[in-house]
Amino acid sequence: MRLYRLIRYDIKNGICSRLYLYVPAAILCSVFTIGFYMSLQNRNLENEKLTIINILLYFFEGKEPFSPELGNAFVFPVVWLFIFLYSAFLTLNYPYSNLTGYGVQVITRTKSRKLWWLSKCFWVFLTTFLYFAVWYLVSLVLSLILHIDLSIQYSERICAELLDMKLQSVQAGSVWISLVILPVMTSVAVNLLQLCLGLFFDRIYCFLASAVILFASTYFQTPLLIGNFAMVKRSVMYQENGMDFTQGIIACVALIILSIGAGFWRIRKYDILKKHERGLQQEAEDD
Amino acid sequence: MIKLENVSKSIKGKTVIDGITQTFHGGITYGLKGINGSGKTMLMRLISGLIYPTAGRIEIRGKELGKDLSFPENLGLLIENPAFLDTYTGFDNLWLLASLNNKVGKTEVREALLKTGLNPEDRRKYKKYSLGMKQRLGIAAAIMEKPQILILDEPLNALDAEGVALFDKIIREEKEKGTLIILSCHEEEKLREYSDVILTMENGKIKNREEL
Repeated sequence: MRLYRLIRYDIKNGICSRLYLYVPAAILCSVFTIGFYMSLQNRNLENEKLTIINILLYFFEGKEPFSPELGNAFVFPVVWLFIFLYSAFLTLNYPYSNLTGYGVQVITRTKSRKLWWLSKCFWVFLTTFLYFAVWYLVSLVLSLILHIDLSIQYSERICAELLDMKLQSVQAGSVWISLVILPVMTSVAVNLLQLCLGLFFDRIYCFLASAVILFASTYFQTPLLIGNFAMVKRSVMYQENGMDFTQGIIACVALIILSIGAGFWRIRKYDILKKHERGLQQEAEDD
Repeated sequence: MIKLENVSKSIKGKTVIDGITQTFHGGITYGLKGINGSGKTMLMRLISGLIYPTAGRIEIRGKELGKDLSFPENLGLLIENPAFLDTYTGFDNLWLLASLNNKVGKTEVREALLKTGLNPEDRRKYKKYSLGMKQRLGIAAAIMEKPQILILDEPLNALDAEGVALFDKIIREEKEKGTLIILSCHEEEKLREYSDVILTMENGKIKNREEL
């Protein structure tokens, strides 16, 4: 019952009261979708059948493996990075604002640090799901408005000419996994890792850690950097030796379990102090 | 009853509480006295379960804090400058907190607000509150669930004469109910008026215990 009340509190206070934070995501999603749609005209591809899958491939294409050779400049996949960094930003502040000020009133009433932690993990899941739901929903609505086909098929020519992407064998299941399941799971895993790190380090360093993981993922193709699993251009759909879907799901689940577990361990003895009390420099002034 | 046995706390290598052994009994008001940095707030944080001892143990009715309990049961707390949700009214803020425990209903929340001189029907958002009103709301939050342990760090901050008079009444009522009260206050006269026992702190230790 207590967990249910805490989750209800987090939904009300951490999601419903912060819905304005999803507006920039909706606006950017619209800008990216319309921009992609307009680029068809510039490339004389108006007669090609654009589908919502093409749009999602554009969002989650990521970056092909990079080989640092002379004259080969590294270009960051801006859309992909924005999607994942904004998700990390969205889940950065709320949980730890719950450990100072008003949050002290909340946590002492929960009677259990573990329940508090569990409710914050659940909040990260919900927030991330909702955030991605905004992306999918906005692209769906715009697809309806712009008469973009909603089928599971996609235009190979648009992929080749606009995304520089020629996909290997593509089945409906692979599309779901690479465009919905893995991006959401990867983001949840990164956000939960960030949440867990917040119990050890300052929030700004935790966000930097998320950013480093995501930026490094775009540069290095390795299963050790979890962002690789959320990029179509790193998957088996794009390369023969690409990232395996099952491996991606296992890596995400492992990181999620590890982050939740480490947080459980840490929260038991975590000192709930004001920021300046951690340094103790100003304690004398405020005590 | 709260029992501290040789409790020490270090933060980043600095000892902020140094080997305190002390028992706090229900129905008694303990006043914490000491200069800035003497460890009053840290002692209150330890008893509230917000931080745990580096050494020693804290028992609350026979249960060890940090082992058997995360936080004391029936605790009312005012430990930092009160902070509430800016876009909620005073009543809505308290109601949201009360709904976490479901121990009290809207009537008790209204009663707590009235006791501190706030109007439960006031539709002003918290961000429009004056400092004194914020402090009153903090006190209301601490007492609304009829706690058995009440910890108040500088409760008179920003209160006007009327607010202080209402607080005097609240303390009298809580004492009559048998609540264990631990409070700190920079006004020594007031601290002596409220307290049955004065504990003087210095360098993280209780230097003196004075029964009034």
